Amino acid sequence: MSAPTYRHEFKAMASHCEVVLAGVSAEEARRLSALAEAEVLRIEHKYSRYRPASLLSVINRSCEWERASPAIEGVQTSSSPAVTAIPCDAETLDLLDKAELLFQHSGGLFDITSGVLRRAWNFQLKQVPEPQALQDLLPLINWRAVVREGNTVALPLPGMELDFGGFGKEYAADRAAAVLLEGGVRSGYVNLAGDIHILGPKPDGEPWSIGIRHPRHADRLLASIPISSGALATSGDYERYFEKDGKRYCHILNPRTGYPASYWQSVSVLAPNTLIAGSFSTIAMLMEEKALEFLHTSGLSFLAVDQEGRIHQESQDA
Amino acid sequence: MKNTPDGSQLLNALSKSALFLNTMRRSGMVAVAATSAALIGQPVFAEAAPEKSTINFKTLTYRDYQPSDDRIDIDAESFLIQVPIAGQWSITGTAVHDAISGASPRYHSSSLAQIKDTRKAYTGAVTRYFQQGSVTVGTAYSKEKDYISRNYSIQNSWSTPSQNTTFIVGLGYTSDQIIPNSIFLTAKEDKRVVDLALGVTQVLSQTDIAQVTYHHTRGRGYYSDQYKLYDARPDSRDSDSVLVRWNHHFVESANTLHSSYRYYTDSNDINAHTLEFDYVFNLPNQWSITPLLRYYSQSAASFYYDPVANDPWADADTFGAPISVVYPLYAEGRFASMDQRLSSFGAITYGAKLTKHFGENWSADVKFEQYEQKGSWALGNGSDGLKDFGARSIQFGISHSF
Repeated sequence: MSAPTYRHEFKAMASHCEVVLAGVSAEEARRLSALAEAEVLRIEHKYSRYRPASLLSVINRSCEWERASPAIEGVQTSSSPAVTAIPCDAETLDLLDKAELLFQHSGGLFDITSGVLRRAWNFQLKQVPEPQALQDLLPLINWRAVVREGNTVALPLPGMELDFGGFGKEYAADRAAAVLLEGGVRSGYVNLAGDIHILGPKPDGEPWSIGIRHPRHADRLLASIPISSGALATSGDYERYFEKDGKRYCHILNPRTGYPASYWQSVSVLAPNTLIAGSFSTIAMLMEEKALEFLHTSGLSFLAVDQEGRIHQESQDA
Repeated sequence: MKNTPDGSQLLNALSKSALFLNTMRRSGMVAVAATSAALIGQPVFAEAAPEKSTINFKTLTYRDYQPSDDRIDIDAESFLIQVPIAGQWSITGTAVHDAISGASPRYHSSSLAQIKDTRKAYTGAVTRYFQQGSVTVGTAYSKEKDYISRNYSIQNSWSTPSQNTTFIVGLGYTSDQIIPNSIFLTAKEDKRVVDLALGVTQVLSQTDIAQVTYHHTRGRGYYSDQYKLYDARPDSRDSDSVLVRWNHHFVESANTLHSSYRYYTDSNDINAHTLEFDYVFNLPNQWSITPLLRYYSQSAASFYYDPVANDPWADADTFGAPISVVYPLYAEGRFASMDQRLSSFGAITYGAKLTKHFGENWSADVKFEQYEQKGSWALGNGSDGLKDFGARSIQFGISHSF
């Protein structure tokens, strides 16, 4: 008889999330999953760009046009941007350091200032933006221009914004896993909408079997992989997208061109933690045909599906 | 960009900066999974099983066994050993799994439904052979976190003295329990399905064999999908289908053409047609290659609603869904579903399978299939607003019949 497995499901970051634990008592499982959920919600509140009070929103308001001077009523004075350096805590500085590494080593493809492109791409209206609309936004995308001094950060241009969407959920999965590991859990996993951090194998030592969603058949699996530890994340062109004139436009946007990545249907990466797995899969999507070389040199296991539906995969032996 | 960035540099950099780092252990586990038919508790004769008089034709495509005295057989089709490619990724649609990795799932996919704890399935059958026929009594049981299914079946087949005509009568009973695992289902539900199959197989000549099977099901109970938003389906479903198959064997080449047509209609107003051809080319040294072509078309269920571009009630999570249409129906207790599998669509599958047999019981195969689905390919009016599907699958398998 195998030990019971406890599943705790919750909603965070607009997604379905779950914590699965084994090898602990029911009471422990309840207590620890509540802690893990609280950790995920904490990160969501701190870094959501949709919450006006989040630290990220405060950073995104760090540069605003100065209000027109009221001295001479009715006369428009030329305004200049006023920049306020926002002090950050160690966790935020660490995430900004990671953003720097991701930018550097992806040739600038992973840029947390690229969220402004959402102003031009409306996936509900299914309209391809005018090239000029994208051109107007591109100057606002520039991680290099973000001012970091000491423990402060500031945006140099009004309208610029930081967006942790590219790694926030992955980071939250790692943090929730850390909370559980610190609590003594050695069997189970954290699954935040498909970004999965494995805490350890099933109580009988068997790996968890994780399925990979088929990028073109929502109710089918494309593949599966047994995992005892580490993390698996998948990026794909099939969740937020539209088709126009026979071309698919997905939500993974290239910060240099402003246009969506179009080479891969999906990329799954197995890595030591979810942040690495998720950022590698996103960078691979953006690298398009050069992704295989990038993934290959990383030495990580991956499975990528190209637009023809062909599977490219590499596995690492222990 | 100068050169492709080196993934190892980023990995090293991130690993040093990572808050923690797990060592990764990997298992070269070979997954043993049961095929879907056995798992979802479908009656064993839902698609007419190959009859023994057809064995000569079908040894290449069906794993079968010669009749002998009474014995217990594990249904060979129920077990499939999946060989993970390079020891890691297992390319399959049916493997048992614990969780799913994908781009953030939204309500419109059924990803949540796929999350299962463990799945246990057993099938068993006893066959008694007589001079002119056989009786098979079978049972199947499968258990998942949210679904328990029990199936009992009895099938009788008999042949004329010449063995040229074979009749099959089958009766099945399936009893399922649906266990609440989402906010849309609060109490246990059940579903009972009785089904009847009648078939006749006729040897037409030395090289031709034909089969007609009629299949009727009558189901009562919970048919909704507890994982789908505002999904409410009638609590009864009756269906009728007719399957006609014709196999032709080419003497000179020893190749075989399999062709079939199936018509299906049910009380949800779904009418479906399936036309399929495959051709087994025999190659030397126990190799064979089988190209396949299949066309499928179905009409939409009477309570299915198409996605819409910009529903005023939809929010970021339900983007694309006709919430303002479906929610009022659901709230009033009327039938509604946004499940794309109930839409009207047409689909074409083409592909080929390469098989190598090793002696009597072992075979290995690799199968390529391309699947394309479009609303506009349906016979009649196709559903609007659904994404087209197009995918290529490659499947490797090793099979052993017991």
